[in-house]
Amino acid sequence: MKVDVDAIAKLARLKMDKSQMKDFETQFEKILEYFSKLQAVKTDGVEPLVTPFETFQNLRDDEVIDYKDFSNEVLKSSEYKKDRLFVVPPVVGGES
Amino acid sequence: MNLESLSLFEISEGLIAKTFSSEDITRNYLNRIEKYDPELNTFITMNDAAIDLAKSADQKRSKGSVPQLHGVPYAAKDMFCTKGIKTTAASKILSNFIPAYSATVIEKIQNQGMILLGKTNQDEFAMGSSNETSAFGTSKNPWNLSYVPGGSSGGSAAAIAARLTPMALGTDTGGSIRQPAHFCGITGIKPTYGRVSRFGVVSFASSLDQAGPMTLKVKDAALSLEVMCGYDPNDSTSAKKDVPTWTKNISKNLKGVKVGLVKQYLEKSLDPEIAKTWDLTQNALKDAGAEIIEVDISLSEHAIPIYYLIATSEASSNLSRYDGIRYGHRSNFEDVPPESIDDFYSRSRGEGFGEEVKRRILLGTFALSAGYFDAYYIKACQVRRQLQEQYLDAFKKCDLLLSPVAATSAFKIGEKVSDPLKMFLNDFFTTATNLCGLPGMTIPIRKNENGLPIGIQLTGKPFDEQSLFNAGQVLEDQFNFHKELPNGF
Repeated sequence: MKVDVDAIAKLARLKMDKSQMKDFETQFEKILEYFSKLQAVKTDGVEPLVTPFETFQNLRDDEVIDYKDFSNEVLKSSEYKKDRLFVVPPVVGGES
Repeated sequence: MNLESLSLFEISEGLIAKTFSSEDITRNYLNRIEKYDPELNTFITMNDAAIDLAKSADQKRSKGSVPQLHGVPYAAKDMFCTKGIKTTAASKILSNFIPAYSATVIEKIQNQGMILLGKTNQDEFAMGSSNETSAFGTSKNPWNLSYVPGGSSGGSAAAIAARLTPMALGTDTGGSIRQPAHFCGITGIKPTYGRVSRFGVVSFASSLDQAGPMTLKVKDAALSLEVMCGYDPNDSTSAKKDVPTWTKNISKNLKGVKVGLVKQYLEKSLDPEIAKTWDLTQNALKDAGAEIIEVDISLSEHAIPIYYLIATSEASSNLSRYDGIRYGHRSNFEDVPPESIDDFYSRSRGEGFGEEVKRRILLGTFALSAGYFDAYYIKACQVRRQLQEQYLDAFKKCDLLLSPVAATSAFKIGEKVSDPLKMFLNDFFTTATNLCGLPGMTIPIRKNENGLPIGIQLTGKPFDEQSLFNAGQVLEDQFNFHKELPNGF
């Protein structure tokens, strides 16, 4: 199975150099060939298991909780800030 | 007295008896870290406040009663958010990240008054089995510095083996506590999924990740886990279960206990030293009264593809948060402005993530992409359910499973790094435990002819960590590996 690494990298928003994409393409072919043995397992009508114990999804009550304002602490990790805001460069154009 | 070889219980007793102070023991570990870590590279960031915390722990103790682990030092893998202390997940993308809050696990441990020594090295975002994917250089195995300590919690395991900390927190998504414990000759437990809150632990694969303690001895692991676990309203997957007192209930009488060996594992070709260790541990459990039986888990051979499809899919989704806007690495856009918002994200992410993380994000994005979603991600989740059913069926016939942790002991640094599939296959014996949400534990047993440690794995029923601690204690008392110290440390 050949993977179009360039297309997947665009979906994943990952800029990569051509030689690494080429390496990944070869590796993914080998990895997916190994993974393909899974296709032999009969799974008709089997519900997918997405978390180990479906019985305890413990959602809390839908109540407003008054968290203290810690925007100053959140901003500490950013080099790009002004007052209480994150700053980004002007972005014009593109698909999104 | 060798302060560095004491167990958590012994440290706690020493503090109560005033044989030494928290400051004494904290200083002793910090001195050892200063002496040995330049070579071992097990720590990424030290806690500058450790001595001050130890001094205030001593003061508090002199004024009244304190919790059992008060003033006892520990280390945390760099996956755990620590308020005000850099938390990198061993990635360039988080190299300057200072969390605004601590993980629930860290809060619980700090409520005991334990002293954080520092944050330990690991594979980047816990993606790796050798520690070689860390953006801060590979940790070394103290038993032989040319060998990997395992991964992803390799820094934690190596630091304990070298007596740089008496306990370290790890996380385990597909074997990341158990495999480095095996490679470094220490004890480590991945509890049942839901036992320990994941809140504030950097996410890799949310349906598989669990945090757990790594220690020299079984009882230390049980005690640490008692402190760490419990329901957390901040994590909807944490279980509403009482916190058992495992340490008080450890029983070495295994009469009536059935220990299962997975038939498909018996058919696998193993390193002779690993096979011998498996035999020796079966005998030790039999001597303690256990009965050994075979169980059939035919889907176990599919665990690697199921695991890597699900783990990478969840990772590709979880790691989409690193976009360079609010925190984490941002590309230098002053010289070359972004062409588009996608270019902004792509350049920051492309520079910030290392090779293994990119490989996994891409594999996961592929498995989730239109046209492949059903054939890869959904298929893997369907077989995951069937695999879990087989495990739960096996546990109707036995109380726990005994198996190798990996097919070999530690491998040389650089040996597998160029072949990702070979590195994935290293996780053959450990991933099913996470896929099925089961508790699993590594007990160190003996050394091979090259002086590298070999451990054994115990896997239990959901929420039955007690059986692991019981059998683990039998093995610890029989083989006494915690008394072995790597040369030069």
